[in-house]
Amino acid sequence: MTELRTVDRRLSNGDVLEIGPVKASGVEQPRGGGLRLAAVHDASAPEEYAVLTVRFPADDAEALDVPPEAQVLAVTTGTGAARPQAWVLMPMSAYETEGPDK
Amino acid sequence: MNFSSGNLLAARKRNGEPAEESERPSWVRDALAAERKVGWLEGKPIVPNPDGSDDGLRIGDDPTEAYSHVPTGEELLRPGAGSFLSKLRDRVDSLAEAAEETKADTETIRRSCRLHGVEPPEPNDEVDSDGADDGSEAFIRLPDGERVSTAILDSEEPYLDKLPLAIALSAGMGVGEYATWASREADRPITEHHVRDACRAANLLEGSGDSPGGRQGVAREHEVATAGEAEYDSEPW
Repeated sequence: MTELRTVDRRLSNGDVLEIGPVKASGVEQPRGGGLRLAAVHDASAPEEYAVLTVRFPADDAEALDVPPEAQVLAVTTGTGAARPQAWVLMPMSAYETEGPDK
Repeated sequence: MNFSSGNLLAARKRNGEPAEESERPSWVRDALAAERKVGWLEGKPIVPNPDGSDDGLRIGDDPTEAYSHVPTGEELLRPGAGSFLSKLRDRVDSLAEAAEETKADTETIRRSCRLHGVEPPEPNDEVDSDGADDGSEAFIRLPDGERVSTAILDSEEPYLDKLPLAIALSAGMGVGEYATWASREADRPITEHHVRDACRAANLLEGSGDSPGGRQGVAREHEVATAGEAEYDSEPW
């Protein structure tokens, strides 16, 4: 049975977020960095995710270096010369079945 | 500690140049090998490279390739870095050391450990000897691995004493190699120039002040010539 709940949280690279399927969301870039996420989600089916950031490649022709299991949550533009970055949610299950060393 | 006059003479003939690798004992290669040291590109990586590219790394070599397997900074947060993180955790004493080794900050290390289910590094309870045996006497490591009390060595710079120099050069180390080794051991710069001067003073280099009478070594002002070897301004009788 659907149970709608809200999330209003400032996220940083490496945070862990427990969230269900998102019904609607909004993001903003707060001063001092990070990402502010406000979302309505179905709390009856929550999953744990790692919040990761991925910098845009220098060339648009290059693929974004995002693991296949990741879901893109938002994009924030960089300040000054910094390239934009994608905020992705990585299922924690991906950390339980670690691959070989880099 | 084992060196012969023959080896010393051969070393003098080489005049500071290293001997052929095949003519040197294995401890010379070991002494010149880079050590595993905490810190990005400080030496060999703390976690060995699985492809073995850090095996033959020598002091002074570019270690970049040896670090190719090390995830750095925010790469540690990604899946796949857990195995490395687990090995790193077993080899360092603190979050700070882990951060130094991976060009990260301690918060990233902490978050990475949490994501990968790895216990954060903890301080090692073993006490480092730091060159002192019982706290009352200081020691240095000689090139061949033996330890010797600094009480019997040159008080100003034990690594420029004739004993370690003779051991190193007679075994085939070059002056430049010795300077590199000694700088690492002393954790301060010991230049090839200083080593060469010390070798000349210890008569370990060709042309270090031989005299027709056979007296070896660079004479210092306060030295007294021994009977049969002195030169006089005028005949004493």
